[in-house]
Amino acid sequence: MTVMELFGCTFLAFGPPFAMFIFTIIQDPVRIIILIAAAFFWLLSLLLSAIVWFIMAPLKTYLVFGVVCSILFQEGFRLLIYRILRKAENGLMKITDDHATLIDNKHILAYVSGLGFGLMSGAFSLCNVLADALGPATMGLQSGNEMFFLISSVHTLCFILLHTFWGIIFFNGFDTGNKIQVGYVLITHLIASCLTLLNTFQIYSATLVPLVCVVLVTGLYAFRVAGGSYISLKLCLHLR
Amino acid sequence: MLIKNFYVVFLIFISLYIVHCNADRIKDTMYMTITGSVACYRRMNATHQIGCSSKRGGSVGIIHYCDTETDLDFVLHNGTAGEYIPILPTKLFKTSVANKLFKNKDKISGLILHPNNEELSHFTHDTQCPNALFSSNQSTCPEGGWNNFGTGLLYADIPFPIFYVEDENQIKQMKNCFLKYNKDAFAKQSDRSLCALELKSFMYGTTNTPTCQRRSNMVTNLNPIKVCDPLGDSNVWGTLFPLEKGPENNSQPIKNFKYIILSARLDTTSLFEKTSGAESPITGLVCLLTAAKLLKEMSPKWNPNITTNVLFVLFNGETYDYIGSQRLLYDMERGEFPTTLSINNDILPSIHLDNITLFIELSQLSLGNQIYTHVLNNTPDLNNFIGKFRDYNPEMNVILVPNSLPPSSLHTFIRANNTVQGMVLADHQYEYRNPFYNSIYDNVSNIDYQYQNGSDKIGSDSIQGYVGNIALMLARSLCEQIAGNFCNQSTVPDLNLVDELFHCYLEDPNCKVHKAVQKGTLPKSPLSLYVGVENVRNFLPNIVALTLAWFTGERLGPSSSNCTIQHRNHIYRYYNMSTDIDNLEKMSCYQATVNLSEAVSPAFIIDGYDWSSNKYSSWSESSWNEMGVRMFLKPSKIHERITLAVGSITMILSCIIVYFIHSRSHILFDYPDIDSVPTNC
Repeated sequence: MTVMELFGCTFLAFGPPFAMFIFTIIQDPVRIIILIAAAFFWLLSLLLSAIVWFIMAPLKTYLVFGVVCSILFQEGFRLLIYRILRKAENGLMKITDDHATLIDNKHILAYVSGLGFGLMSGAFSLCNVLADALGPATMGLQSGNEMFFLISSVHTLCFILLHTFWGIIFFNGFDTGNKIQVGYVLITHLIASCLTLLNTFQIYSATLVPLVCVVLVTGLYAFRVAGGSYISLKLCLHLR
Repeated sequence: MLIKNFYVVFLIFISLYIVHCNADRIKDTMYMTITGSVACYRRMNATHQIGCSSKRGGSVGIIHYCDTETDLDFVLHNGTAGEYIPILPTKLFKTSVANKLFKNKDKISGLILHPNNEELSHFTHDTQCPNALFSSNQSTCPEGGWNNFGTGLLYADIPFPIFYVEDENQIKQMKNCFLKYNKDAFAKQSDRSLCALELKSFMYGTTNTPTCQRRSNMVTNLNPIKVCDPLGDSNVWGTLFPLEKGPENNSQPIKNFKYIILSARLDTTSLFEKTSGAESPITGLVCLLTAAKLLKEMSPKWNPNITTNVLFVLFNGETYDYIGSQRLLYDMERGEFPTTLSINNDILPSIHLDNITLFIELSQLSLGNQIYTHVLNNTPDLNNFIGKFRDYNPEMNVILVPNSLPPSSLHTFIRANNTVQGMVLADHQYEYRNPFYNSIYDNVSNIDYQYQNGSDKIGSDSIQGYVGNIALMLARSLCEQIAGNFCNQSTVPDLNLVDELFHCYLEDPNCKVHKAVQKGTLPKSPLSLYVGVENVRNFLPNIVALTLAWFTGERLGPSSSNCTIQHRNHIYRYYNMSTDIDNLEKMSCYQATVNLSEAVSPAFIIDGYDWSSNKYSSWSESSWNEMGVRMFLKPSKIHERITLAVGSITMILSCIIVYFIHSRSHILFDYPDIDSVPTNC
């Protein structure tokens, strides 16, 4: 991959999260702290799943085992950060300038921590590929094809967005005691991750199309959960 | 505290363990390393740089496999997809093709050469008059040059990297990749991914030796970087008779010796980082060693009536403007040969140019029934000596070539003193018979050598027989010259030993002779005959010195641990060596007057040497970090642009959308107004 491709892929995967960071996070230091904390919790989940993967020597070769184990840890840590944030709310209220929106709208914390999860998982899934690929070559000599990097970037973008949406739905599920929402997060996470296992067969469309569908559905669900509706969308467009 | 320490140790162990795990990386599927490639690299002299270098980080080009010159012309005229790297058989690498490539250097970013199993009629990239700048004042290069086929490419500044790949399987892989991705629809090449190569051989040294030496010596930080190193290694020298007389603890130097020098060269070169060197220098080297052994066997023990000694010298670095002989002469002129003891010391005599009565150099030899003796200034003494050749070897046609001197170490000595009497023995008259002079194809088949492994079928019509014959002729003539009628004229050369010597230098360094003289294990592939840089010494001079010591040494008795710790006085060397080549277990103690001397050009040791004086050889070799070839698919320009465009558009669009959503979030998300709900009733 050349420098041009490198920038193209980076923009594609990290452009939207970057925009979200610039316009919605950067204004409030507390949001940045929560973003970083969430990213750190995702890292911890990765560390734990890596240790389990490392110990379970006979299962090492089965990618499925690693994937499922990692998903369980990620959702476990999502629960953990949910509990911590809810406990820390009173303290946060004291230090933030903008406590009205941050605390009153519970979805903001959920959104920020979800984005933190997504950013770190995206960095981990793509940076390895990008770093390895910095050079004059593209894929396709021995396996894969030249679309590999573009597809990888789209995958990464999808997962960053999914994590953000999952964060909103999951937090809301626990806030309202809605087990369906929590279950939805767990199931779609499993489905989306297991879809990527099909990549070994190099039929990229078979994973990409369902994945984008999952992103759209989850996005709409999160939109609903966050209080959006068809009417509010119309209203917001009409005001223009 | 203890627990804390335990955790630290535990973590270190874990991390060490993890570092050792090598996961499959994306890189491994993108690149294919081409193994067994040898590169052309850069050398510099006082005024120029020669050889090749890639761009920093590697030169990339699209593979174009060429079977004929038409294929090459086709890509030079019609290539549309940027820079190319043609893969050429060595047969096509001629001056005309090379010039064509140089002219199109903006279209060519590198070159791969491969042997292709074709019979070559000639392949030599030295100049037509090798080392002409350092020849004696009389112009001796004949019309057409000594090296008639010489292209001079070895001394050209080549604007792109060149790699030589011998392994046919690697070439086949590159060819298959070319056929699969590049060959069809040539006109539309720029629209798709193409099979490409990256050649990495970036050279740090540039411009010329003074410049790069200055840069190497600059102390800019605590870790100075060497950008080039002087070429150099060691000369090997030995004498027939000891240089001192008397009992062990009361020895006197023999000061009135006259010396006859019998010399040959020890090095060759090639365009690539691999040498062969069968005809030049191995034939001369083997002949000298054989003659030394014969001379030792036939000559009597030293007595005061013998006033002439024979000095065997093997010069190193001669290919690069006579580095070894210039240094030896420089040391002689300063009274530092054979040791740096003060002049007129009572341990060793110093040898000066005036002490040398005759200089005989063995140049390239090849199968035939004649030998040419080149003499620059004919004198009665020389004629007399050549007469001896004829007497002792009536079957050999000894042809005198007057007023002629092919490139040889003798040039250095005649440059210093016009009256030095010397001759060069070679297989050619005015034109080399060796069509592969200083190239990778100067191999065993060039001299028709076949290893006989101790069989008694070695005929006089083989190269072994011919070299043995010349050695016998030389030894008899020399022995008569120094000892008159006291020579044992019935001694004959051992052709099996000659056979073994060729085998040692050309095929297997772990041969019987090398096992007899030392007990270590040498590398499996033939020893490099390139002089190399001074701070990395080759095996060759040491192993040749040991062999010469074995041939000319005095056997003192059975081997013992006392042998090598005996009285030394700068001059003797003691070795435990096998007595017989067929029985390596039986060891004896040998005393020999053999040693190494520096072969680094005086230009690098004289303070404030004037580089423009052209007095001494000034060659240096650039240093480099890594060398290698890898193959991969290079994306098309269109694909790159599409990727960048998709990425940029996504980013800009997402910025707009996020800004829009954010600015209207209060309308879009109808979040519950918590304040209106009584929370604490």
